[in-house]
Amino acid sequence: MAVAIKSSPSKMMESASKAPKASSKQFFLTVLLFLKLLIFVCLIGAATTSRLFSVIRYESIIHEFDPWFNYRATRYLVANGFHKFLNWFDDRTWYPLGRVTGGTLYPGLMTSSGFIWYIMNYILKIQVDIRNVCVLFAPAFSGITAIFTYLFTKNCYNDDALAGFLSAAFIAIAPGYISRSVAGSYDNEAIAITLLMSTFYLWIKAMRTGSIAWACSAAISYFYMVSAWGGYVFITNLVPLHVFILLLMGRYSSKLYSAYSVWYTIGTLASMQIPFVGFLPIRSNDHMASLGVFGLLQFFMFGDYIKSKISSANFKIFLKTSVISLIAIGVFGLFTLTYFGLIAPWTGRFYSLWDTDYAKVHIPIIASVSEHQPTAWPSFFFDTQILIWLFPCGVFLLFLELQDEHVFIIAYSVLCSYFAGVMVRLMLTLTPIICVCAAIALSNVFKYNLKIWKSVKTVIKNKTGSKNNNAFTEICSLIGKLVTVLTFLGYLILFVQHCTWVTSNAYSSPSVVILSGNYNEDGSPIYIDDFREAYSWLRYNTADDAKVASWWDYGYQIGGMADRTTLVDNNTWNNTHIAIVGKAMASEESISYEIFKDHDVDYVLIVFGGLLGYSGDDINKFLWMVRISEGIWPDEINEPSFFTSDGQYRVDSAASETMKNSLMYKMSYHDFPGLLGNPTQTTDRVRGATIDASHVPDLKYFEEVFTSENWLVRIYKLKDEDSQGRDLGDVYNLEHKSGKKSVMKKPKLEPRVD
Amino acid sequence: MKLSAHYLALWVLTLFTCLSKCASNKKLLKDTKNGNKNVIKLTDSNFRNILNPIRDSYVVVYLTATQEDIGCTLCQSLDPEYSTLAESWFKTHPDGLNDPENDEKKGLFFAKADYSEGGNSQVFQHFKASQVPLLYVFAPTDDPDSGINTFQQLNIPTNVAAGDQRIEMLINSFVHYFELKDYKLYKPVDYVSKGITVVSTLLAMFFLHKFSSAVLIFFKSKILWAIVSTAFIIVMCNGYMFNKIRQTPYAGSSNNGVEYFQSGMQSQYAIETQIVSFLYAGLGLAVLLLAKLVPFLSEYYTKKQKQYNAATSSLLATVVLLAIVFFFSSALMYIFRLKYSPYPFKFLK
Repeated sequence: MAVAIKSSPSKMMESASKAPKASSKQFFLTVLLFLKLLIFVCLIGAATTSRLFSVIRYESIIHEFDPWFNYRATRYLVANGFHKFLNWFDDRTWYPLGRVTGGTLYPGLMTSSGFIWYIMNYILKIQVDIRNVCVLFAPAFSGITAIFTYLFTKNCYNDDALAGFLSAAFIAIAPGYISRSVAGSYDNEAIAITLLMSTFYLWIKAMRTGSIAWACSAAISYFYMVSAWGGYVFITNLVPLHVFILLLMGRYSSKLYSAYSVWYTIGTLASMQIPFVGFLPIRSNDHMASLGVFGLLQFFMFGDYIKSKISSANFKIFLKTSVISLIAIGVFGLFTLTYFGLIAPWTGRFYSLWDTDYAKVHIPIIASVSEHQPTAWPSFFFDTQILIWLFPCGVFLLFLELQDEHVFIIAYSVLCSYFAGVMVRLMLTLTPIICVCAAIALSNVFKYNLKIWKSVKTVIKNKTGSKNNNAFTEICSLIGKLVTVLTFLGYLILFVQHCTWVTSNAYSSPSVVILSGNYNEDGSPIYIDDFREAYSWLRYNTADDAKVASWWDYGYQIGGMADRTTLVDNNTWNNTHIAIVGKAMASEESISYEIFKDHDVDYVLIVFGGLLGYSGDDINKFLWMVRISEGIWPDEINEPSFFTSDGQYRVDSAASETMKNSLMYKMSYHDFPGLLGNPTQTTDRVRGATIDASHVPDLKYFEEVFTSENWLVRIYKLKDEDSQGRDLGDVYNLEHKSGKKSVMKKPKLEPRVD
Repeated sequence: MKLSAHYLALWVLTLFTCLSKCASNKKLLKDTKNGNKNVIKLTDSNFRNILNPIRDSYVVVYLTATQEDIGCTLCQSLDPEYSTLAESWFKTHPDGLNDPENDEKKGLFFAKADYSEGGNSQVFQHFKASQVPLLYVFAPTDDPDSGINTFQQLNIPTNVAAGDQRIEMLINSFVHYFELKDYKLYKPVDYVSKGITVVSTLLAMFFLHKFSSAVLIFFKSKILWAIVSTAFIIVMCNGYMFNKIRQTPYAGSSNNGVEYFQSGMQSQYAIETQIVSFLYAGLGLAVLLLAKLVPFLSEYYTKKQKQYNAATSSLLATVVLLAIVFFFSSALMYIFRLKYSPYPFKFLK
């Protein structure tokens, strides 16, 4: 695999170095074509293989959280057909509300993989499991992304094939993109970046040629993008911004007019066909920029026409009056429409991009998602290594020429680097443009320095001649070029190694199965497979219609792997419902029991990393549950009461009483003290706190039914209501006072200690 | 007999209080007017007098210390807010009474003791204040025995944004607990700042118009735009927004002096942004020169028929720039290793 990756950058240079010299044109063209094809094959090979670490290391498995939902939806689509899929009402999530799943998802991803599966099974007659299609979907599409990036760069940058190939090679292996497209990461982003690049490529093509055909293809590609990812809004705003800047620079042309008008009208009409998008493109403020620019273009066109008809003095007057009145009408119209509620206010997620305090204050659920956190500089370096410092250089180089299409790259870079700085998740959309700009910078360096062969030739020629002076200068320039090329080749090789290392170490974990870092005696790695263990326990040991309550992070996985009904899941469409679960987790046992009983819950699932040292567990997420429920019930849940008196978040003896009595605390540490030798104390390895038996109150309303091998997942069952109508807490107290020991069905546990 | 004497005393006292009731509100109002910005200033000499008598009104007492070297930032930010609080109340209730039209006696008055101003150490001793800021409230009372030692502490909301939002919150809780009417946040219009804004806008427009050609050149300058946008990109790609949102400290301190780099991928000091931005800018500039300056040098001298110069200068430039790229990128990797120790790649060190 490494060989395949390494070969690609060097191949590119070969082709470029061979470009200038040609003895026979026909032969040369054939070789060039062959080499190009070879490079593409290598690129696709590199892109695909470098994303297969997880499949080789673990197995063909869907990763993380959201992909499990997509996988479940795809299975539904394959089993029930497209129409049923679009009308799918899912009663097994968000119990008891259910979710209009067909109308609230972006169907592009599922339809694409369903389509591929259909072709493979029914037309090509290759029997493939839908799971394997889903797992390998992202790697396959990243190969296509590389090709589109090549086309985009080549078209954007003076038909420079070298820059094109470099950018394609970069995007193929850049960790910033791999992070979202490894095998098994079956998420919308897997397909979205491909479509992003294809739409941009087609837009540039349309803008340069002014051809309606290209503009239509751009619109179709845009439609596909809308059907696949909510981030399509980025395109909806970037293309108008490009046009707007061009207009400001006085670069209106009829090509621009026809390209944008066609793209906008067809693209918008098409995008409204997606049920989830619906009428948003004409109502939401996120889409208003594109509409405004569309109107502005009409105005420019009209002005252009008038200009050709009347004298320039009259035209000036015409221009002034119409500009002022137009602005006035525009501002007034925007305000009135928003005032009357005809156009929706800007959505919350959009706000959190601009006003970074907004989300923190108003929408805890957005702030709680780690993807919405700001990006620290190491992430940029980690995701792109040398490209990150080539990136500004490339942008600067574009400014030196500043053709229409260069403006696009510049606008994209500036806008997106801000977005990526605000939100980690948007690193993904920045990566393609980093690759493009870095490739432009490098290609500029190589352009001059790759003329080695020519230098060598002159050196040889001069040696046979007599001009000593010239020979010296030629050798000097040859050395200069050679050193430059070799050094940068070294950097590129380092980049390839960096990418491979990052992908292998950081981005290839399915997070459903975890590597413990220890090895068996025979050298095979030890896996921590608690999640699947727990989910399959649920699948095989509980009633088919059992309701499982858990924090929303695990909703999709429970739905996908355990096939049980959940209260909340990663869709987070209903804040109140999530707050209900948060409140139940944060309240006292008796209150939680009541809440859960009201919602027909049978089991409660929590994730506890204290034994293993797994830091992403529920106790660490607990404060978000408190905050989110405090947002709805400020009288009943109070965040400061979960802290110690000096404002610390502690779980040991110093923890506040509210903390100790919360259901989450009790469930996490139930029977935990006394687990490792010492009968009364055990150390929580995530928080480094000693948990004493006397600090963990007994569970009175819940009973433990399952705890996974490494205690990562614990499942509790709500006790049945007392047959005599007594309060379960009283029953428990009574039984324990009278010396009767309740028989606890405790699973046999053998904690792994390393 | 003893009992009746006791009763008699109580009766006399009640009579006395009935007379003094109205006086109490008036007296508080008088004190308020004497005070600064509608806030009664508590000192060692007057605080027993002000807080002791039987009241019809709530008296809010605010203990603070605004002096710089005490270093109570919360006090400093809360101080103007407390003044606004009092001002807003007296804007709609000039007598400090809640509902004077319905002949209701209940009112609200504000008092404050700032430790930094001195002469009030007894006040702080009385409240046994070991920390500031503190907010207390004295409820209206008829009971002569309760006096100065019956008060309640109020929570100062610290989890909301300072400024208007916090004042609103305090006002809301006052309205809720003291059952007040017409208590709204009042913000005096700052005519001076508005005037300055108007004048400066007009001036700016005037200068823009006057030097429009220069401004146009400025706006049309490619290089300027290029520098601004690349600088913007470099800064943004270095966690500037992270610093802004998380309000990270500029640098840390450890046992052996200043710590410039915080270890961990998801954390950073503000100074890191500057250091790394400098490295990126240096690297980017070097590559830019490598792509543009080197061919330019060689071409320039070749045109002048100075082959020797062309060769040596471009070779020299190449070597220098490559050395810069090498050292800077190895520095970058070194810094990155400081933050993320498992990272295996390095050039130097």
